[in-house]
Parts: sequence; structure tokens; C-alpha cells
Amino acid sequence: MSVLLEVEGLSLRVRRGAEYAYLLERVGFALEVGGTLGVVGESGCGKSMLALALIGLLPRGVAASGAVRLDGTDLLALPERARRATRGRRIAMVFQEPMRALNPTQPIGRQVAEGLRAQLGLGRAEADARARALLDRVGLPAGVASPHTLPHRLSGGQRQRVLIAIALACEPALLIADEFSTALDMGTQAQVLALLAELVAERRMALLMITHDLGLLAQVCARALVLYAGRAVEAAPTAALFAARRHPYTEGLFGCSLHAGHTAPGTRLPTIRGQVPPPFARGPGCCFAGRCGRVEPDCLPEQPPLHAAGPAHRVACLHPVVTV
Amino acid sequence: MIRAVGARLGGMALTLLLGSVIVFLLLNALPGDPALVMLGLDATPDAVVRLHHQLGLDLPLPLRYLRWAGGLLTLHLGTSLTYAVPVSQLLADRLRITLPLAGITLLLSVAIGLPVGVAAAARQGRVSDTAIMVAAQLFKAIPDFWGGVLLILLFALVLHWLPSGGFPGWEPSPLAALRALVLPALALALPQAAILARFMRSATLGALSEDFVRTARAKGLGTQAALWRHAVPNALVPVITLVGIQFPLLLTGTIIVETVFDLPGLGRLVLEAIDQRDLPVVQDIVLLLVGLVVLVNVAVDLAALRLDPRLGGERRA
Repeated sequence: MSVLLEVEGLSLRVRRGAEYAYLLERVGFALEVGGTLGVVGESGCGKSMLALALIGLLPRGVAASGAVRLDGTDLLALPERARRATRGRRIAMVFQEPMRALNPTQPIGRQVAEGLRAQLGLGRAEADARARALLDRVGLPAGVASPHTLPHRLSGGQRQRVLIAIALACEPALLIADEFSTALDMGTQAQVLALLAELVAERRMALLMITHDLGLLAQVCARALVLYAGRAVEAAPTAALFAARRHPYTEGLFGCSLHAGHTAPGTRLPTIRGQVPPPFARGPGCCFAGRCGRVEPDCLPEQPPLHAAGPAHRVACLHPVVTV
Repeated sequence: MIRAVGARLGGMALTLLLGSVIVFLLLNALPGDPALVMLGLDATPDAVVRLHHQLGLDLPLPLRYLRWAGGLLTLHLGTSLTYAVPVSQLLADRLRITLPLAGITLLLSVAIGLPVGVAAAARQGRVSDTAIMVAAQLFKAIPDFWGGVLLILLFALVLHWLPSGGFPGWEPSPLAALRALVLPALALALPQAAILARFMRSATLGALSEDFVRTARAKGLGTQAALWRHAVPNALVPVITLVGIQFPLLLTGTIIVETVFDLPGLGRLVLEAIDQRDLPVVQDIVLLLVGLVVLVNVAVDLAALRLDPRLGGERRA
């Protein structure tokens, strides 16, 4: 498999007065053509910032360094004009909050056709025809919604389908889905997810899915990257991760999620005590030390590097969890 | 859309009916007897009674209201007490100045205020944004009459580009008439434009931070395309409503500005008529102003509905 996306030493820095802080610190991973990667972690770990850095829509004041190579070209080194040409065309994104991610005053057909006109230079008639076909493909045929329908007439799941149509319009090589179905109810979530997985496979797109839902991770993604406080703490094939977690944070994350349904009534749900340290309050050592049950004195002076912990399995912990 | 127009026209009729009752009651409850003003201080009681009868002022209030309202419906607006000409003719003469003045002012304030507000929002936090907002604050604080005097000083007395006041009438040269309206319209429009600019800036900033603008950028649209195609149309909805809310202020502004620029318009007429206790004229003008305000607000409502069809009701959660 050839590599599509290669992220190397990606750091995102913000400034407050004379201080600097890192939203992401030297994160690296690779994604093959047609591959699937899930990025997991709590809120505030830098997952969404990673997505915005990949597509090049970081908020003002966030500086990126490192390399984001798509087919060998470093996107971070490109001028904005060339970068814009990749948006929608090579890398597309489906956002969270389908209720707010569509323009409420514009018919959905136009919102789908817009990318086609901007990026492929199609004329109005051709773009409209393709938009209609795309809406059909994502499960919004003529009887359900017309291109003239306004977003407020659609349900959450239908809006999410429109967002998928927008993202697929120019047949990108990489699709980023940011918490994309969390705002939907379970049944709708499953349907939209099935559609997304089907389309990704059908068009041989690579998928980078940002989620805190481990069930989703298991269903869709071949590989997983665990982010904590802006750092990659564990990377592994999803199956290996489900079999054995090595980083105490990953173990905690799985503990909260997988056992939540099996807790006897009256007992406390498992949690990871404490919170993700905010960017300006992160020390030099392991970022998880403050919440970790396995912390030792050697965790504190410096950040543990990622090292091999199995086939294609890497972990950034000096005292990893050992499971039998 | 047709139903929306119908509903708003119905509301407009109701507003006008209520407005006419309030205007009538207010004006007839005011102290000051038109007959005394007309006859002078040394009028004999007999003469006053006779004039009251002649003017219909001795009739009971409800009857007087019905006479006035019925007249309005059949377009018989009564006769001015002081000018002794039909009120309709008086209004028609004065509207030929005030209507274009209000129209030009509205156009200018929107044409200046909205682009300036969008420009400031697009440059948020930069020096140019701050400069625009400071200027807007300044213009907003300048009262119409003083701004008018400053404009006369600059454009009429120093630069000699435009006349300082008066109105040559439309017949000899429409261009000269238009030139006479430029300065008064500017004096009225600048503070309005400043308010609109500030409001448009914050509405645009709000829209720019919406997720759908990010969706648009992710499709590969540039910042300008995302701004003009996605943020601005959404920002316009509340701003257009503000234009409607501001319109009555604009109309009352014409009263002052017509005085400063010596324009024989509706504003001047209403001042004179109040001074003379010329009840038929005052009543009709005030109701006409109510009608104009209601009309502009219906137009604004329909424009907002066109921009954001969700306002049409039948929402879906």
C-alpha cells in the first residue's frame, strides 16, 4: 500500500503574552491510500485541532510546524492559494454538529454544488446535476428532499447526509470526519455511519475519524492513534488495542467506555480521575503523570518517547500496562 | 410568500386603525383651541362658539373621529385651518420633497453602513477595523442638526460644491432639486450609517464564527467567497430588521434637517401646523407618518423573509 498522508513532528503552538503553549506536540502518523485511522482521546486533547491543521483551517493565532505530506507534498509549506486548491478537492471534512454546519439560508443543492463549481470549475447546470446525483447517493432521493430544500426542513441524520455529499463532491483522497455522528441518536448514527463506511470503501478514500466513541473506532478504523494533552501516547492496530492497552491513559479510556454497560447498579461508574491539563499548565514530564496510578519518579523529568510495544504497536510510557 | 404578504397587509391595516384612534385621541386631548388661535386673543365668546360649530369641534368625540376616519377612507382629508387649502394638496406638495429625502437617506445609510460594517468585520482586530469603528462612534454621536451645519460649512461655503439650503422645485431642473437634497440626506444618513455599520460588523462577526462558514472554507472557498456568500446573507437578516426599527428616527430627523436646510417639506409643515393648532393637518400628517413606518416595516419583514425562509413559520425542530 502506498502512503497517502504522512504527518511528521506536527506541533501547534499558541502564544499568550510572552508564554507559548502547545496544542499539539510532535505528533506523527501515516495513512495509506484507502486506509482508516481513528484518533481518540478526551475533549481538550487536540483532536479537532489536528483535523483543522490537516485541512489548513486553523484559527488565527495557532502556528503549525512540522510536516503534513499529502502524496509527498508538504502542505504546511504551500502558500494559501495552493493550499486552498487541496481543500475539498484532495482533503475533505465532515464536521460535527450537523445542525450548525449547513448554511440555514441556502438550499442544500446549492451548498453541494458550490464545491464542484469552486474546485472543479463546473458550470451551473453540470454542478447542479452532479449535486442531485450526490444527494441521491447519500440517501436523499427526490421524494425525501429536493436540491431546493432548506436545511431546517431536514432531520439531523438527513443533514449529516448532506454534509457527506458536500465532502464527497470532488472525490477527495482523504476524508476527515470530526466527531461526525455524536449529535445523532443511536439508530441514525448507525445508518449514517454505515453509509460513510460504504462510500469510503467504494471510492477508495482514506478516512481519518476523530472520535471519543470506542465502539465507532472498533467498527470503522483499522488503526488507532490515542492523543493525550496534545501528544500521541499510543498507536496501534485497533484489534491489538482492543486486545491489550499498554498506556495507562488508553487503559483508563477503555475502562470508562467498555465497562460502563457492565457496572452493577449502585456501584460507581469507572472514571479517570482529574482532567486533561490545559495547554498553559503542562509540565516537562509525562503529561499523564498527574492522573496516573502507575506514576514513578522517573516519569516526571521528561516526556517519555514513543517506543515499540508489539508489532506495529507503539506507546509513550516508561511503565506500560502489562496484560496477560 | 403570498400568504405572508397577506398576513402582513392585514396586520398593517390593524396597526393603522389603532394608530388613527391613538393619534386622534392624543391630539384632541392636547390643550390649545384651534378656534382661539385662529381668532386671536380678543375673540368674543360668540365668535368662538360659531367657529367651533363651523369646524365641527362642538360635536361629540366619537362622531368627530368617525367623520375624520371616514374622510380618510374616501380620501377626503379635510381642509387646513390656516392655509385654507385641502390637506391632500398640502401633503402632496410637501411629500415631493420629504419622500425623496427619506428615500435617498435610507439608500445612503444602507449603501454606506453595510459595506463598511462588513469591511470592518473582515479586518477584525486590525488598525483599519479600529479606525472604522472609532469613526462610526463619532458619526453616531453627531446630532443631525449639527452635522448638517458642518456639511453646509464644508461643501457649500468652503468648497462651493452644493447649495447650502432651500429648494428650487423639481420642474425647472430635476438635477438642481436633487443637488439640494444631497447635503440634508447626508446629514441624516451618516449617523444612521454609523449605527448600521456597527451592527453589521457584529452580525458579520457572529456569522463568520458559525460552523457553516467553516464548511464553506473546507469546500475550498476563499475567505472572500465564504464571507460574501455565506456570512453576509446570514448577517443581513437582523440588520435589515434594524433598518425598519431605525426608520421612524429617520422620519423625525427630517423635521430637524428640513429646518436646518430650509426645505419646505413635510417635517417643516408638521412643525408649523402644530404651532398653529391646525388639527386636520397634524392628524393627517402623523397618521401618514405612521403609515410610512408601517409600510417600511412590512417591506423589511418581507425582505428578511426572503433572506431567511425559516422566518416564515412552520419550523421543524
